[in-house]
Amino acid sequence: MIKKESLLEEMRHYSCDIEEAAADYLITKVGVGPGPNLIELSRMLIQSHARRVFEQSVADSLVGVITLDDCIACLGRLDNLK
Amino acid sequence: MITTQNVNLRNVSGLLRLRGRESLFDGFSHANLCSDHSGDLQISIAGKSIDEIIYRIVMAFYQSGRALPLGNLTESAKVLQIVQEQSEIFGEAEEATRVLGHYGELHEAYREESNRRKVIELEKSRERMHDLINEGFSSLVGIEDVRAVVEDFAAMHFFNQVRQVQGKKPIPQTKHLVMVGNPGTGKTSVARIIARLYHEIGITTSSAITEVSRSDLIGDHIGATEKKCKAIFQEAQGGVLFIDEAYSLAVPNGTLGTVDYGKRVIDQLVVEAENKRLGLTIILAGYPLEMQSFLETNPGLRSRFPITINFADYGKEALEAILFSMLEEVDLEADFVAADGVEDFRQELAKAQRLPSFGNARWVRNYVESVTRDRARVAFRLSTDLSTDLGTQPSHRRVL
Repeated sequence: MIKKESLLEEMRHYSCDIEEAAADYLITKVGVGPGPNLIELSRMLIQSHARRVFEQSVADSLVGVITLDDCIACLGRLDNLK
Repeated sequence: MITTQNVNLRNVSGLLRLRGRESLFDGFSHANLCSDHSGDLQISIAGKSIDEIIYRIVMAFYQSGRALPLGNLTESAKVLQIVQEQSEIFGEAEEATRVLGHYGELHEAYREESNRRKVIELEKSRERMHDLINEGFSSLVGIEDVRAVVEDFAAMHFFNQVRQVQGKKPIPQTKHLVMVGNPGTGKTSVARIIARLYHEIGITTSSAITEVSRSDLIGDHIGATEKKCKAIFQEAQGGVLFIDEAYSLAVPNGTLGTVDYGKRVIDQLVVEAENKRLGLTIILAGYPLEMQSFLETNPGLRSRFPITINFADYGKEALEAILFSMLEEVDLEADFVAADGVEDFRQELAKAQRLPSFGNARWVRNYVESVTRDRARVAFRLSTDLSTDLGTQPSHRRVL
């Protein structure tokens, strides 16, 4: 089970800010049953965020905060892996 | 020998480039800091550091009401930092605050302009990446999963460019892949496209793809395997290393006694996949069941190859699309249709698909080659009237 503090710490390590509510949501969802480890989760989350940045306007990208949408996309990626 | 004539002291840019090379100024007593040679802004440089000289220049420019000739954002940022530091050393903070306020506006203007340009550059970069991906996959059928993986890596590459603008460090990504699929599902073709695309997008430094199989990696005596592997990993550095039928590495050597050279390759593969993960993309390819067993042979393999792309068997429609794409390449599409070739193709395909060794796109390629040979055979017949018959003779099917 992954703790929210660990996820925030991991994101800080990559200088990625994540919205508090988004982190809560993600942790609640992955905290049930067997799930990914912290490294896998972080990789998926950053990848999901990067994908959104790749699709949206550059000016918005420069804000660079991981949002709820990124977390939902991340969960979708994890589901695809199962 | 540096003289006041060839050291550009007219603007701060020249001095910034000379930071850390103070010894070049040994022996000079003063320098003319302005372009007009009027001598009105002379400053003694003997015994002064470059930073102090820059500081004095900025103060002198401010006091004289002149515009400070700074080239760009980086320079203005450096100069403002130097002014801050030097003013603290000399206890001139109050005066420096006014100077920093004045030139700080200039710096902000530079920053805004610089950001605006960077956003335009990023927009161009992203558009180019999308175009390259569209173009790269335009001729392929049924490769949505592959495309998604390449788009992910392009997205990460772009994301890192954005982070660079934000002054953040890039986030490194392991690009190693496993490709699993039956024969002829396009693993090798896609690996070649990935190698080219990664390079065009800027993810890798080379477009080269080194394609190897077990025999290229395994030596015939002790020490030879390590040497061969090392040379191949070295050769592939910067590009893509494609190991076809990678599962065969896990098959023990039957004829070489007790030495398992395949295991040595796997051990080295695990090490290189980790050590060279940022500069090399390794793709392991093979058939689904065999690859699944192979990835379990070493506990380190799975974690170093986190992404698996499944190449599904092509359906009938996809195979027909591949057929027409191949016929178009050899300019036989019209002939083939005129000779009712499509019906023949469907019948042959239905038979071939029942075989366990069915080769998907490779089977289609063989079929097209047989059609081409038949076409050539018709043209070669003495009875063929080249002026009339060539375009109307049916392309008979071949047994494949």
